[in-house]
Amino acid sequence: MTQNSISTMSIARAIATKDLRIEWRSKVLVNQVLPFAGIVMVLFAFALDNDGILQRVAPGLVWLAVLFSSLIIVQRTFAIESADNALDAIKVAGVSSAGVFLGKSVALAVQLLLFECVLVMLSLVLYQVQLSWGGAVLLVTVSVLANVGIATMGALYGGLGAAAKGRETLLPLLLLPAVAPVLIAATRATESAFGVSGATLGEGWPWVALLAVFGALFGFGGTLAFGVLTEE
Amino acid sequence: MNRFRPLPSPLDTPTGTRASRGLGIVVLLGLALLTLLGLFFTDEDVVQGSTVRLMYIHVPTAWVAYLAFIVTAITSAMYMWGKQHSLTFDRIAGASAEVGVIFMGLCLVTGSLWGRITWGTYWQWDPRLTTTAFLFVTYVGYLAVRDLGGSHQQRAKRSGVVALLAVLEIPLVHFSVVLWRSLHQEASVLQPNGDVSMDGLMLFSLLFGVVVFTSLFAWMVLHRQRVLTLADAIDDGGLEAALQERRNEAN
Amino acid sequence: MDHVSFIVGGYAITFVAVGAYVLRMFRQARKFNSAIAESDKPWR
Repeated sequence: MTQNSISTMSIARAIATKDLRIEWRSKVLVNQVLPFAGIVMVLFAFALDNDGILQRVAPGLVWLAVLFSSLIIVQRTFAIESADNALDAIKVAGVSSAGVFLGKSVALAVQLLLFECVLVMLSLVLYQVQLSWGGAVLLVTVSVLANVGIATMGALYGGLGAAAKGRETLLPLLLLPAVAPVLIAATRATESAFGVSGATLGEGWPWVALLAVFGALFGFGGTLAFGVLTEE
Repeated sequence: MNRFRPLPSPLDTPTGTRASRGLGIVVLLGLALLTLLGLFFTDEDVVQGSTVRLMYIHVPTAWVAYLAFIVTAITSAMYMWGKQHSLTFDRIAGASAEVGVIFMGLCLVTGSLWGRITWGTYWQWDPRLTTTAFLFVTYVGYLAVRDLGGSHQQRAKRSGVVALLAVLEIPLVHFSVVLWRSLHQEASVLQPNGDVSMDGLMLFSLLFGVVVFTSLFAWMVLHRQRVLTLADAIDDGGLEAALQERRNEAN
Repeated sequence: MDHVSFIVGGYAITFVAVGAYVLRMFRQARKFNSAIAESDKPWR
């Protein structure tokens, strides 16, 4: 049992470092997906066309941009596997699917964190929101916990789409409704961190609890379910 | 019904049995009676006026939709944890979700018609409405997962997991939407249906509607599940036919 | 009765949608039926 759990963790670490290394070397994420997220932020400004409104809804826009980007990141993280049937090879090799799931989730969460840093900084510049030190602490906590939720759900449904080849279009339909609680909680907490809509810092922390529950529940559920979902 | 009609009618179905036909006729009569009760026999409500008439179908559709998803969750669990991994449970889950999506769509439509008259808008960001809309989308996704292809067992396992995940998702969605709305509560335009005082015939019509629609649900799932059995058999047969062809070629 | 079109429309949409679904289901059943052996129809 101990042996088994150790190997699951080391598989997770191996998968996560492999994924991150591929992204680091290919630069697709930084050169293509990150600029996409930036463009979305600019387009929001065009669409809303009002500085006051923009400032007020900035938290929601940041998290919407994160969710849209997450769709691309999730699809990419499984595209690099299914290109040469690597997922099948991993399965044939008898690697624990829980380890694969956790590794994929960690890699996704790290990539999402990068996006959140950039998008928050963009919103400080473009949407003129303010961020105090206390707000920054809240925002980092929120981002990390929200990423657990988005990454586990993304890994789960992304894996499902990848297992059924050529049906990746299913991902948004499954993922977006499932992570709606994350969008709600993260947006409200970020409102507190930015101090917009009259929200105070203290109001943000209860939402952190909701994010933690969500992340824990689907981290656990996903670990159990991933093997069944990606089974051939 | 074909025994009474020499020509093949659109109602002629090979999935029917004596019992299902009996149930079908009872359901049809029940729906007719419900319409008469709802549109003509009952009085208008003191508070809601004539709009209460929409409730006699809206409440039953909502009830059936939620019931359908409970059935899907339970039969999915029975498939996943049953020793046989019986595809019958999987097909009941699929049939129930399909019927549930239809009724949930109808529930949203009749609800927004009611809302348009009562609130002046088709939609309110009320937690119950929002959760219902999410449930609808989630199960549309579930049906899409059932369509992914692969073997029947594969379909059953995948969709079973998605159905069980949905059971986790929906309470979280509901809870977060409730929290969200509690912060942004506007002037209360909502009149919770519980406030409506109902006289005897109105209450009877409502309960009668729930019973009739539940029977309709049972009848639809019964037939749909049998059609899915036929469809699965066609798939299997197609595979066998192809294999047979191969064997003939080889010889 | 006020709002007749909304109320009758609500009933009509419900019955038409359910009816259309049922008819489609029956048509599918008839299409499949001939290709399936009786032994694969446990309800018969």
